[in-house]
Parts: sequence; structure tokens; C-alpha cells
Amino acid sequence: MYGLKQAPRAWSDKIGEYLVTSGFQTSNADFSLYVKKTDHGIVVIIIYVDDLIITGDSDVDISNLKKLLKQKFEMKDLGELRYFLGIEVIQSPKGIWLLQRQYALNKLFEYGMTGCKPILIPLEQNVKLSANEGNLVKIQAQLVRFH
Amino acid sequence: MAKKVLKTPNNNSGVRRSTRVKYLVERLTYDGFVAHHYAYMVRVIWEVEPTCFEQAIGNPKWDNAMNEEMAALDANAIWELVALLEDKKAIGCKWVYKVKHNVDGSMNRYKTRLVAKGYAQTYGIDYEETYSLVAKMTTVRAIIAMAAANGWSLHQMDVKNVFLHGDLQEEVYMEKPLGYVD
Repeated sequence: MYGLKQAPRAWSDKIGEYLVTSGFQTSNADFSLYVKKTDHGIVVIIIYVDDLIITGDSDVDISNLKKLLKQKFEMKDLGELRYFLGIEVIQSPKGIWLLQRQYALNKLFEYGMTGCKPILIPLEQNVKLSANEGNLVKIQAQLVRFH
Repeated sequence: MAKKVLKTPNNNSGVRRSTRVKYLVERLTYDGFVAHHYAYMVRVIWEVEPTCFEQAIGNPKWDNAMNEEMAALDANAIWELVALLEDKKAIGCKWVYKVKHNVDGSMNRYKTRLVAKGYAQTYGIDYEETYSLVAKMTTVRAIIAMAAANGWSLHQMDVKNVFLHGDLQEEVYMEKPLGYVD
């Protein structure tokens, strides 16, 4: 249930258990990374709460895995990876491009700066900031936002 | 209407700045937007999200959304109705309403979540350990690099109602959601 302190953990346990019984192994470096060796090669899953990235050698293995996951959980197949954690992904035979264009646009929109002029160096170069120089800035507490 | 001065140029910082006087009215109107951005703004502002159950109830759009959420909760059989024992405490819950927009600003759907007031839970009684599956950015980039090097294709899936899937280890008591008695 949403809002409960243990909800994310309960989900982690559930999907982890399922993947392990299906032959996946958790990475020791990152528990959200699962890898399975198959006859064709390997299948890799990265989990970010409710977002999954799936990749690997064999398209057959990948589509089989997708089918199983859809059966087991209410999952939506979003097809090829295009947008993940604010990063646009463009896949081509030449390689994979990662862009944060949309993320930057969203931030500009959020801070009301969509009309600003693009500039190569948005901040003065080699600027030295010191704690006891210049004017104090008053911050309204309700406007401070954490990410 | 008299223009209100937002900022008068001052030049005591040593940095060269524009000397144009900037007016508040230039910043706060929608006049500068092209037609489809203007339409987007109107769309977003026009749809008001209720902040509580009392504001939402009776509006068919939100009633539907609440029924949908309730159906998802029922389908996952995540709770049962019990009488609260004297020595137990129940936490509250709240309906949360959100209008989802498409990229072009058109309405996507009315979404409602029933959320438990987890801040009222006590460590050791209502819950033990917390943990979340959050991939590290370096992992994501490493895997994408591997995919690029090996010519693998990358796919994406998402889970609907993700937090309705897990099984709780602890017993948690929650008050009944407003509007749904039995």
C-alpha cells in the first residue's frame, strides 16, 4: 500500500524473490541489478522502483522474460528504452546517445526561465565564493525545494 | 495600468549588466507565449486538483478515479476489515488527486491514490527495516555502455500500482478510507 514505510521494501522483496527463483543473480555491487545466464548468453535487468530496464544478448530471452513479468505482475511493456530517470536514450546501429534535453527543459519551465537566452558558459568563470563577502540572501522557507 | 518596476539596474558589482529597466508585467503575463503554449497554460491552470475527499466527491471524474483505485486495491487483496483491538493503534489514510497531462498539455487522465499516513508509523512496531530498489546512475550508465559495445537492444517496462504488490511482514492497522465503508 502507498504511504507505508515498508511498502518499497515489500516490493523489493517480492520482485527479488521472483527473479531469484527464475534463475537471476543479484549483483553485489548494486542490489537493483539482476543478471541471468542463459543458453544464448545473458539477460540483464535494472530496477528503479517501478521502472525496469532489460537488455542482453538474445531478443528471444528478452521477450520471454517480458511475457513472464507481465503475467506475474501488472507490468506495461514500453518497448525500446527511450526515457529513463530524466535521460533521453536514442538507440541506433552506430551507438547509443544519452541526452538530458527534456530534463533541462523541464527545469527551465519549473523555474520560469524558458525564455532565457542560451549561453555556453552560464556562470562567470573562475569565480571564487567566500562565506563572509557580499550581501546576505533572504530565503523564504516555503520556496526551498529538495530533490 | 502603471508598470511596476521589478528591478532597477545597479552597477556596483563590477560586472557589466544590461541597463534596460525590467518590468514585472513583462514577466508575469502570458502575452509572450505563442498560441499553443498559451493553450497549454490555460489547460494546466483550468483543471483544479481537489485537496481532500470532500472537494472531490460528487464529481463524476474523480468518483470514477476513486472507484478505479479502490478496484486496484481490492484486486490485490491487500487488506481485510477488522475490529480494532484495544491495544492497537490505527494510522490514517488520505485520498490524493492528480490530473495527468500529456506532453502537449492535453488531458491524459484523472488519477487518484489512496495513501496511508506512513509518518504515523512507529519503528519496531509498525515496521522494521526500510529499503528501496533504486539503481545507481553508474550502474545504469555501465549497462547502457555494455549494450552499446555489444550491440544489445535496450527495453523498458513499468509496473502499475507497484506498491500494492508486496507482502507486508508486519501487521499494520489503518482507518477505513473515506467514502468506502464496507
